[in-house]
Amino acid sequence: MSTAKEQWDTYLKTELPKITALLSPYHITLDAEQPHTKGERFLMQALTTVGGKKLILLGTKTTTNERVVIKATNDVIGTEELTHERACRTLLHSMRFSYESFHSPKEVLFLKKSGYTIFVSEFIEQTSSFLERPLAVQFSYALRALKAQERTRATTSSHFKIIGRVFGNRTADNYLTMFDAFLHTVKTSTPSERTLSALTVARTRLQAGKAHIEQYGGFLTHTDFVPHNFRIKDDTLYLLDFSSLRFGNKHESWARFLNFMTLYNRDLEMLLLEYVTNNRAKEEQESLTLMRLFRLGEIIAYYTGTLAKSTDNLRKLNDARIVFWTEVLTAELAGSRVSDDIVETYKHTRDTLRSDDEKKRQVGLH
Amino acid sequence: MKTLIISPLFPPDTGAPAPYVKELATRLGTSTSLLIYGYLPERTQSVSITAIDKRASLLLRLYHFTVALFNAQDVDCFLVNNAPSVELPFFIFYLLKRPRFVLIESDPLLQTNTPRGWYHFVHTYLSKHAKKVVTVSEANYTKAELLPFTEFDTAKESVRETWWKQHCNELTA
Repeated sequence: MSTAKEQWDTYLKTELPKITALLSPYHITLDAEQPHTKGERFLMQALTTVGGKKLILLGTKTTTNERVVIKATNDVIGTEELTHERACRTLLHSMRFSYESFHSPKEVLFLKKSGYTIFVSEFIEQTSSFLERPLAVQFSYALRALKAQERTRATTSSHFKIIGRVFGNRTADNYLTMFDAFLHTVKTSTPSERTLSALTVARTRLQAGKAHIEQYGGFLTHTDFVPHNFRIKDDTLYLLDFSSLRFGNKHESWARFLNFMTLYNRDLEMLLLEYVTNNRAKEEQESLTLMRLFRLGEIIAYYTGTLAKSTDNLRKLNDARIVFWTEVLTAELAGSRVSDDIVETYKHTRDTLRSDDEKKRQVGLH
Repeated sequence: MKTLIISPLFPPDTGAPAPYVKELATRLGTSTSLLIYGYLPERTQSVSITAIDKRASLLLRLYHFTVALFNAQDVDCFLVNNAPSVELPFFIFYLLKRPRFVLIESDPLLQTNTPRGWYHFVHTYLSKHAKKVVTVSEANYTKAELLPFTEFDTAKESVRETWWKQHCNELTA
């Protein structure tokens, strides 16, 4: 067992009873089984957002028998993240220049007590996960949600004043600086020649396309727009994670979603790419490609950062992840798609190396 | 006839009248130029664009927009898309230069909310002095998207195409 994993287990053992006691006066109980504390959860730390230490727990409000989701932390950065997320939710629902509102699960409780910050919201029951739905339905929901983000753009000085305080705004220069940090993370480990070369070429492409990145800036974008961050109920898509909302290039969320679908649903990836080709300006297509390169650099840096904290099969898996995402990046740089063979081989490796706990955590997640 | 389209929004901005203005400029072609509020607008083949950055303070951007109107050369007709930020500079320009213009009511908000205060005065004044006032709605000009799992409605597209031809004729007549 790795040190990081041991630390996480100790953290859980200490924190869960304290959180249980804090929630008790509000008639909220925690489930005995907590899927979001298992598997590789201990490794997760967002790379481009605040990313503090927090627990995501499931429970029940006993007075109403309502299922709830609990986010709890006593970590300084985690507290900032939860407070920030709440501020994002509030501001997003009140911005005048937002043409479309997002649905969010109802807030049940926001508590700051004994050094803890706890946010409790309703649990959105869904009949099936996103990826279990028919392809046409997945396409429709994905496009609607991506378009909804595009309907909110900050353009005037007063808009930027409003969003700057809460969401922040990423410019083309910010993206380039962040990519340099990804490159630095990778360089400080012992990257393969192929990974380093792909990232270096990607950096050059981003620099050359800086104007296109800036051109589609100022938009509301969800930096972690993937199926486990939204749920669907009664034909309504609920956004779960508001802390990943930023203003920046509008294709950040598209890129994250498409890169995710390279692995999880290639047909959906192709349909969305076809949609962009058929309906959007050439400059927009270029901006999307650039943001996919950016996000691929990010994921390679993320897994490089996990290597020191992982051992045995998890270490082998994270090495395989770096190799796989390097292949995706290389294909994207060549203007093609990574082959099905590479995707399937990687999936096989991943499923062989994943721990049982992680396999359990993944069930119905996407 | 040389036209200058002036607009508060242009892609990548979203929302009306941004897509309308882009398509109008594309259809009118080389005889047209654009004066818009925006930063790094999408390119439109053979149409020159002057963009006034909205990130400047309100007074500064109104000033720059007004100056850009006065700097416009050899324009036979101005196609003015309604919005306070466009109509106020154009009102000043009109009082001094008396140009020929068409007022295009392309902002859907105007169709649901009656202008108030100074904007009511400016809009009414420009409406009275325009060569014509044309109202357009998103239902008329919006191009249907090509979507998987959905058959492209060619009949609807044909109606839209006819509308655009008539509309361009109406604006340039």
